[in-house]
Amino acid sequence: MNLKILKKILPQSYTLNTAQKPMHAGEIYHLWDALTASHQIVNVGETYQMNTQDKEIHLFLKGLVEGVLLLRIPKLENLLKDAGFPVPPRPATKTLQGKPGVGQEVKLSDEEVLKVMLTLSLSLLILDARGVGTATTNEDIRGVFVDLLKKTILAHDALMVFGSGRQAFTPAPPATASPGALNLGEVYVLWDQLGYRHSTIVLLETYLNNTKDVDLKTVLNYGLNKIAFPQMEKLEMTLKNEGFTVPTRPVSRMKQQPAGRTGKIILRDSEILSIVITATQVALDLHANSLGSIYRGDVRELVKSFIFEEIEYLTKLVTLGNKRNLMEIPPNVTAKV
Amino acid sequence: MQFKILKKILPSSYTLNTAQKPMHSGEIYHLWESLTASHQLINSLETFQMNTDDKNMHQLIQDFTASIRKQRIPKLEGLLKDAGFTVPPRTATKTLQGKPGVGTEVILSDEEIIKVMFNLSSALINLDGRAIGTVTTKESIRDLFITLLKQDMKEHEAIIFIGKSRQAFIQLPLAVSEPNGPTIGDAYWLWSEMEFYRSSSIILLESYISNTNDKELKKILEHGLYKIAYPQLSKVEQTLKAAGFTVPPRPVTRMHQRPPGVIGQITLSDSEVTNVIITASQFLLNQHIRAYSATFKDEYRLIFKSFIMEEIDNIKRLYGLGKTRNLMLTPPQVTSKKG
Repeated sequence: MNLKILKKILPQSYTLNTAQKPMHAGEIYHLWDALTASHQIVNVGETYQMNTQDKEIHLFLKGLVEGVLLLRIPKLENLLKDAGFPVPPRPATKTLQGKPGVGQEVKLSDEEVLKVMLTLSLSLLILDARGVGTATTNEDIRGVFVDLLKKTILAHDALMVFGSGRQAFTPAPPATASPGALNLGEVYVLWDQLGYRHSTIVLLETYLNNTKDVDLKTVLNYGLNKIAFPQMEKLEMTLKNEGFTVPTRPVSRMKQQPAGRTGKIILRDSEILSIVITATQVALDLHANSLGSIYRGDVRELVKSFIFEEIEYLTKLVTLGNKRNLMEIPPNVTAKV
Repeated sequence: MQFKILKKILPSSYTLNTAQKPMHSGEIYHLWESLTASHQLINSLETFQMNTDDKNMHQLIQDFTASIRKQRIPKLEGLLKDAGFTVPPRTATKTLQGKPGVGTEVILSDEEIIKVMFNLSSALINLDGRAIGTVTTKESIRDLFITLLKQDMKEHEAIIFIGKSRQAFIQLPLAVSEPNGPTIGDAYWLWSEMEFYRSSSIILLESYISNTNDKELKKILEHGLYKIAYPQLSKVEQTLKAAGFTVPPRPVTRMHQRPPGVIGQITLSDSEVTNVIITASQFLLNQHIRAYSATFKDEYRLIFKSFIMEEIDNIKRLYGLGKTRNLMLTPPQVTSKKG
């Protein structure tokens, strides 16, 4: 009992008592993946810190590396250890091999360092978002990934601002001739997400006509009216403001008939919920990936808000699925080989 | 013994003897994910099949569901069961609820169905790609996912073919005034691929080749640099230039600056180098797959498809070396045993 209290007090001993409730294979895998990717970011970040003499970049990389060392690695390690899995050894720090700036013989320019770090932080951001989408056993585990995702987004934002200030990046050419116009990548990801929202609306409206379950209808209605439609409108407005003609919306097929069937073909509630959960995981992945192509502040803010709306929706879906046993959760696994 | 032989002969009892060699958590997860996504896809597709009266649509949907039923589900189920895991129940077919076309009270247009199918098949291809990048325990498991990926690509192309012939897709405007030029989406993906090579792959590979004395690791890194990164970079640069885009100058090359073995004075271990390169390869495979599944133009899709196959080949080489030399940090092996 004392040990448990001690574990809760000490900052390095983060635990969610996963030994009592085994995690599923996806949760273990994403914890491992997030942990090993964190080690890689530290390795590369420290090597680059030794490769530049620029004090601003030293400070920036040091902050990034320390954030990963203090806020990511201990949490992830402890969750895996608590579940009975050994964790990989921590690599030795590169900063003891000399003073910052010592590694100057094979030169990387500071801009190149920033470009590589931006790509690596994007890959970490995508991994964290996948972790959020996968964690279904325990809300606290999803909470850990959400927390990590928020911090990675902050780091990615900071790299974006810092690198853009030094013109380190080469964004795709502007999509239109007007000053401050969106670049090709920004237009593409907005258009892509708009198309995805159209499919979401078609599916949700069909499924709403297919179920009589009040709780499921509430969740589907939330997805339709609080997520899909508002996001579609924001995407349309942003594209229209930039001078693009947006595609026509799908026709509405709500209230065509008494609730309870889609045509005459019936889907079970668990089938509907599984499809909607997968679609929400895909949408989250889509939003997270798109942050890598977006340089303009207002569009980044828009997509970030989509990410957190999607996470909130996923929480609602998983809560209902767990309560009613409607989900097909990946198998629980243990380290007992 | 006889039971084992029987299992090998019967088509629905696909096995790779995973009971003898436990898989890691990522492999179990991706097998499960791929299996449940297959069930979900069948549910959606069969509902759509009942929703349309068009014979070509019936054919397209039936081909897709038949390939999932015969090629994907039994193999994925067999592997999970062999490893001691219980698989989810198969869902009942929707096609027994009436004749195709019966479910037309809440009408979906065929174009809407095609668009949704396009999104669903893209999602499945993405899942397969992630699985390929994850599998490390046995090559035969990776080969299974590669076969599934190829099959899904065929279905995806069939959806694009029928969708284009019916003008079902609303494509982005053209990026240039040339009528056969790339759309904004195509131009973005070509640019994005070019930037990834320039700003990450080539820089990392060149730095790491200077960082190691290990001949085999150098050989693999050089393969990545000279047989994949540079040729693919040239390909996308030429395609962009042919479409009328000015491409920015390439980054400086830092090869042969000094005797190999050190990056500056800061050394990374070979295992650290291998792991960073593997993560970068997984990320790159994900990029190629997203580019492939996003474009409607055959010419560009072929380019991205060849990049996908080359990257898979590179991942195989990296994992081959990583395993023989114990350079990789593989996810923990897991079982269904409790208590």
